[in-house]
Amino acid sequence: MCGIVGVFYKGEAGDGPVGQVLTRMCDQLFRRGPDSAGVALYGPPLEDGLVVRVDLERLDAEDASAEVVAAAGLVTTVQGSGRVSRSLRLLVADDADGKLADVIEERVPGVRVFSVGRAMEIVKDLGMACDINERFGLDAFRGTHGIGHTRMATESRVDIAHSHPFWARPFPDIAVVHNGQITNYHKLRRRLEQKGHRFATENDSEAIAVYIADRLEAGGSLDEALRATIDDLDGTFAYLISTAGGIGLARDRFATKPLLYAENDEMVVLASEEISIRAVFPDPALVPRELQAKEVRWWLK
Amino acid sequence: MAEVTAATIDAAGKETRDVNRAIRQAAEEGATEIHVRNPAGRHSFGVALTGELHVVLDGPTGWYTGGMNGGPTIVIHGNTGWAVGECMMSGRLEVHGHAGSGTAASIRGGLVYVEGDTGARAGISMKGGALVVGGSVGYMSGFMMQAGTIVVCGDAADGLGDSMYEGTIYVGGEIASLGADAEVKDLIDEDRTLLETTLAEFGIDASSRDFTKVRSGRRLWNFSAREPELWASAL
Repeated sequence: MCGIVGVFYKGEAGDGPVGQVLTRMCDQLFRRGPDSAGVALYGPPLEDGLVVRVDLERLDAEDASAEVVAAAGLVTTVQGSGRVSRSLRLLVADDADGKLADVIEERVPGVRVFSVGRAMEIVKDLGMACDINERFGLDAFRGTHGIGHTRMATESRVDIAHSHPFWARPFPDIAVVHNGQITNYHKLRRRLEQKGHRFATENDSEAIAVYIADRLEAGGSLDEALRATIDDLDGTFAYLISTAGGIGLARDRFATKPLLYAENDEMVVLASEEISIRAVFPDPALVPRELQAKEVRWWLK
Repeated sequence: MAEVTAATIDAAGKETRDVNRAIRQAAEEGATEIHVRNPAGRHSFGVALTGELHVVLDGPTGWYTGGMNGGPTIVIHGNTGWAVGECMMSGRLEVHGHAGSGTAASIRGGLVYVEGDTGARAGISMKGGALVVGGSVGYMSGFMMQAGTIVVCGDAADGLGDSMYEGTIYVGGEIASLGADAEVKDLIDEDRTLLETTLAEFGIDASSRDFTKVRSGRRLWNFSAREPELWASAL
């Protein structure tokens, strides 16, 4: 069991308190996943530059920050940096070769790059979403859309790196949250590795993000990529994939894992259970619907 | 007629267990109609109740609502989550909204009515009673059904009635596909009468739909080495 949530504000100018909404929704699902929680938050894409979120899994956060900035400087121009607790946020000029995350992690042992993107920032940690919200000041984050997760670990160890959302490294702005188990993970991972992709963790969900990013990179549409997962992923899944443009989802052929969506003119709200939607959006006119087996949906700006 | 005495419980800020205790206590004190306000999509309200009792949940509820009941009438004004009314022995459960997966799972008796649609596996392993759905049902509904009746006014998704032993499923709309050993049977007058009387109380005119009747082909009742394809598809 895990809990997944998402919110998408419609329209070119649509935005809202994504950080607050997603963490509150995650909190309602803590029984589905008490191990860890996390969010991928999306603001308007930067026209020039990328945002990098780095987790400083070290005690000497101040020194580690300086080392990360220096390491990033080897690959690109660092335009700014700021730190809240263990989460370091960098603004960099570019990542043309997609090597920035690898270089930072190689040069500074004990830190992990959670995300690189023009619009996306991933923050995750052990414990409840409300604590993570407080620790990293997520209430202040306004944005266009985002996805969140509360984890009950089944397939890989309980630590911050194996928490969701997973970034589709090195593809900017693509992340996934997943409830279920991908039983052909090793085969899928091997196939993607043969195409040159690398994996940051041992977690099966990461493969969904990389699989979809690979298809999008090859020129496929999000719709095609989502539909392809219904046959190519084996096991149980309800997942949300987010890109700079919006959110997509798919549910496995047996409808094993719950997923609801509720939609009105302004927004789309997604969650494993209605309790999560009701806590934040009590409006009775917003009626959630359970997705059917093999159902695929997406909302893009 | 017994006098109706009403009680109201506000679920906001209360533990689920305390809400369920309050329902029981109100019933013991003679309340025959109990309203629960602000259920807010939370799980396991109104479970394991017996006797003639009318519980109204004024809003959407979560999973397992009204499960393991024998006797009471539960009315939900809003959506409900997975496994609503699971293992109900007798009584009645109405959902004035949509329901999640596993609706009326393993009920032995009574009636479950869903005004809207259900998720996957509606009426899974039903051992009696009736499930009436005003809308459509999801994947593999009626799976391993052993007795009872399912009436679906809308459509049925893939795998309808897979591996059902007994019981009858009626579908007013389209059936995407039948499950293993589920077969379409001819509708007889008794079926039409049953549909008319069952649906009339929900304001649905049975004659406005062309119902299809689905029952077990009974070929999975006993193993037969001469039908390997059937068994391969069933297992």
